[in-house]
Amino acid sequence: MPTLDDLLDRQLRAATPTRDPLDVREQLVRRKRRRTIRRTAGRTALAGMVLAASAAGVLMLGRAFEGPEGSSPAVSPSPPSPAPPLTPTASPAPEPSATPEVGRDIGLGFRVCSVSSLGQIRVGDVRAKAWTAIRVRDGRCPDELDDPGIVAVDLDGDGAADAWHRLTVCTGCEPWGATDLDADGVEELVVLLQFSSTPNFGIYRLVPSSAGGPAVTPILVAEPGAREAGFPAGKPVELWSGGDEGFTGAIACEAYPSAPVLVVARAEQPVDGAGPVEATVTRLRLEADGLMHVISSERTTRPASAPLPITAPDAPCGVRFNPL
Amino acid sequence: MVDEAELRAFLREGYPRLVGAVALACGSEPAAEDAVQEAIVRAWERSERGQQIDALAPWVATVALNLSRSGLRRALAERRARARMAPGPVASPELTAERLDLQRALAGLPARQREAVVLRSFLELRVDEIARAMGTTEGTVKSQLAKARAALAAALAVDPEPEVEPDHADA
Repeated sequence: MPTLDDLLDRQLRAATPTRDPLDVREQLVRRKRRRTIRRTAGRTALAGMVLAASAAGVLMLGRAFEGPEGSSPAVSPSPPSPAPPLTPTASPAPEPSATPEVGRDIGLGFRVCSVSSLGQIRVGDVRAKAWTAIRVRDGRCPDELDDPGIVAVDLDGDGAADAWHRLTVCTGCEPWGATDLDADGVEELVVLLQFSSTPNFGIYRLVPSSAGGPAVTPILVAEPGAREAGFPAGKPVELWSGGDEGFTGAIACEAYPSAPVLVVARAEQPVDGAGPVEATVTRLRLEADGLMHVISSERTTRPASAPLPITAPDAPCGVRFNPL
Repeated sequence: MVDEAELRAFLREGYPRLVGAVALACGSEPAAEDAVQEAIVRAWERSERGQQIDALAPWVATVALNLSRSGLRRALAERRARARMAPGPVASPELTAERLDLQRALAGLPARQREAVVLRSFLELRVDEIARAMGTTEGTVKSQLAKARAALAAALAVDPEPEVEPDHADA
């Protein structure tokens, strides 16, 4: 009589498919990208539905409270603007056709594509500008999954980038905001690294020429850090917010703008599980040594249905850590 | 943390076996592959967020088994697979009949027992690893395994020879 283990082993060997690991990896990369796009589209559609519902609600309320026919509105409508002249405007003469060069040079001496920018960053008296972009290679714009691109900054206010740093990841990345986390008069740059329902943000230090720059460098976590809370020492600070099936994150801020402290909460739960959730609340302060110091990190176990221990305001420390 | 080297090693060695195991549990290879890939991507995203996954294979296996329970997922995955795949090699009639019996027997098990037996018998995880992956105790896993094996042996008319849990130090 055959044993159960013989049968199971025989069937597993017969059921095990042959796969090329490289093909599988390609499929995984595509699937990961689809997930990001799907989540983004879902959130956008939801926002659209909320707006549409709000507009419909306003319209219905307006009709419900409308006065009797013929009554005048409280505010007179403005007179209609004169119609624009119907004469067509002159079109520029077509330029001779040539193969257009991909991307542009923002001041770094090489061409970049997929450019996003953010202006009005306060670096002392200068209004600086930041970009995220991907370097053009072989005359084409690489996919952001193949080349995560760079963050570049103009620190002297002349409109041309004068320093850059390579990003580790870019999925819909862009320079997202600026805030003075160490209250020294020079704002730190917040870069959205991944646009998704669980967006993550990197924080970069801007070093003007007067302080040994120009440079833009990721702010690192000081020793000893808080590895279990997502802040290992010596690694760039990354902040996560939002949520999905296995993660919830929130960012708050204390004592801004005089002595800002970032408060970062995150909770992880088993996917598809109803078990308890492990949550951490970590307080971080950017010190004069240019490093992000963990002031405290508390870990708690909570019921899966419990909300995060902190409430995230709209713009903690002056930055809206939510792209959706 | 899932790094690139670990992911590549997993895709080379663990992935085909895991797809096979989940396919036996859910009765569909396209659905199994879909569920396993989805689970790996979730592990990858967690890793990018700095979340710890102590052991990739048990984590992915557990999530994939959960995902593969969805009938809608199975239907969509099979439709996609039919559109892109050539027919695979045909198994011998005896093997196919035996597989159908096994799939029916697995389908008749409660979900947690099925999960335990797939993790143990197909993926050869230790009881403590299964307990961690399923979020339960080693005692519960042993009890579920014993019940599952007895039910399978009865359904398949085979000898329910008791298996011996390997020494943890060997793993």
